[in-house]
Amino acid sequence: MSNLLEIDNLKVGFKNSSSQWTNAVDGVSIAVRPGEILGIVGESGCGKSVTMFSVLKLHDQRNTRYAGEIRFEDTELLTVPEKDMRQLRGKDIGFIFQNPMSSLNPLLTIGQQIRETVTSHRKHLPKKEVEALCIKALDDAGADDSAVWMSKYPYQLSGGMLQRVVIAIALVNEPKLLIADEPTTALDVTIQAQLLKVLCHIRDERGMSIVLITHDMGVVAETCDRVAVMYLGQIVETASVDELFANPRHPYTQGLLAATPPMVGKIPERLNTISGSVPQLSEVAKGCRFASRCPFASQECLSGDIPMFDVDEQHQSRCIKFNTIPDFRKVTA
Amino acid sequence: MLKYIFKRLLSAVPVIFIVGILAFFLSRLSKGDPARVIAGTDATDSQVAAIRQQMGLDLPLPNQLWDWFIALLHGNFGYSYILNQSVSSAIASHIFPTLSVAIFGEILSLAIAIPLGILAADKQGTFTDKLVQGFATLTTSMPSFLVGLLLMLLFATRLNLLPVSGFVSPTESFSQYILHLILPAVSVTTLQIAIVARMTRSSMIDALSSDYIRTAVAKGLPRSQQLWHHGFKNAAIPVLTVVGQSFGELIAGSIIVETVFDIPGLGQLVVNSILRRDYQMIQGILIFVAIVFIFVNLITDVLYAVIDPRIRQESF
Repeated sequence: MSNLLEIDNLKVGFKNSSSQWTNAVDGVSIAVRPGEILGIVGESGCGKSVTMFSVLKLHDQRNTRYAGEIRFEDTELLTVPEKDMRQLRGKDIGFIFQNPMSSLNPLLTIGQQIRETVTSHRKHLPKKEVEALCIKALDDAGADDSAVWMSKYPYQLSGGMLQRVVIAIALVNEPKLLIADEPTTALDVTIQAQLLKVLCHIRDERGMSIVLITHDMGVVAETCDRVAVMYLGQIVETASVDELFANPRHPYTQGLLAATPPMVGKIPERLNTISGSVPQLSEVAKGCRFASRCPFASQECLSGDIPMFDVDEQHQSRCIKFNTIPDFRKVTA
Repeated sequence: MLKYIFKRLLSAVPVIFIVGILAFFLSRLSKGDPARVIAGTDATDSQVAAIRQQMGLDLPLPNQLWDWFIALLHGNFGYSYILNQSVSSAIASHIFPTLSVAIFGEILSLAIAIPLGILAADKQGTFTDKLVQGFATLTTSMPSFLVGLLLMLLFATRLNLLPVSGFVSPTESFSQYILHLILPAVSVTTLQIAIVARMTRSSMIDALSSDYIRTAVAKGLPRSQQLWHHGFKNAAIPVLTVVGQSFGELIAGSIIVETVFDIPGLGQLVVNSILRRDYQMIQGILIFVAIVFIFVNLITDVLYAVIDPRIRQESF
């Protein structure tokens, strides 16, 4: 089966105030298959959101440049005219943002904000049908009293409720792809679990694909089918969730996993940390970008750009020592 | 809602009281004697004294102030012995031309300034933006009497398209009424456009960088809807503040423009009354202007609540 979304060697550059370009995303290739939940993990600033924002071209056009390819079904998104892009946004591709409190317009009712998502794509739909679609989307997103919610303003609802509204807005046109950018980061843990359940349930029901951007390994383990780990604008490892957790083949992934409290067994007194800090994008050296913090780095890691290596058909790692490095977690444990 | 308006009106009473005291003493600070103005240059001292007594000017100042306040409480703004007319009827006959210029000018400036401000914000940093900002700077630095004179020279004298000056009542000829309003309205508008366009631009730039605009983009809304429905609605409150302020000033009378175009408005009435030492008239007009400002502010505040449900919740 062909991929729903294919990102090929994507580079996204931003212009800073002194008119210099920096690539926040540097050569990302990734595919989203129909019906799967793909997790993208990495720490703040690694480019995971930048990558997915590029799919809908949500960056400020005036100081952003793109290179590479993003294909959605048969459309090349980076070159598609703005008019056609607008048709894709909110219709074929839904987007859930991180902070529900600020993602909704404070001056419009929930109903107005869901309705316009429908009517801007389907102008001639009768009012009653629009209303029914909105109510259904809210129900699907787990609203307990959708009709009442429709007449409320954002300030009258809690954060968790608002995120359900944001989910309903993303779902109301039944998109084929849903991009969720840290949908639960701003919410407390119980709400987080409920919302992830909602997303999984919708995927099972509609067979849509979901890209879940997160920095929480626990969320990945619970919800995703496949994972891509990003570091400093590059993907460093991709694998199925089971494979990645059982057999991480990149020292950065290992470090991330070692820094997560285990689900089973004794929780160690001190969790592992990855030493050092993320270098500035402007001072990225030649070779492996993780080398400065990697316990296994040697001279050859710095010799040139590191490609992705196949660990097996479904598992890739951007580490030249992918088949020789010991499991970092076991070494340090 | 009604309760809120009532509360606001109640809180305006002390404001009007203080304005009244200021108006009373300010008008008496200037040198000159209204009784002598009325009596004429060759009146005898006893004639002047008689007139002074008739006008109540012989009483001590606190008594005069007290009498005036009592009259105000009865809705009586006073009587101008110089015009031989009650202050309220004088205001009534002069307010219509002023109001016409103010409303016409305000509508014109909003119709131009708001789209310009939104355009500049949408195209922030581009040539279009700089053009709008340059235009705003230019119109701010041109005094309205200069704009008025230039317009008059071009459209009335040279091109003969519009009347030079004066005011025609709409009951007389509606088309002449509009034609006579165009030039004065445009001259009071120029400064307004600059102020409103700048405020709209900066307020829109804030709104456009917010998360809900990003959501609106991700929903696939047309740009116009992102800008007006989501952007401008959020940017409107500071703009409304500026508009309310300037509209109050326009109603108080744009003396210079009324003089240039010879419009018998409130501004002219004020100037002439000051020249004539017409105390009652000056006081009456000042109180009237204070009341106008209070009402404009009240309407502005009610409009805030119409726009923003959170303010609605708080105030009503």
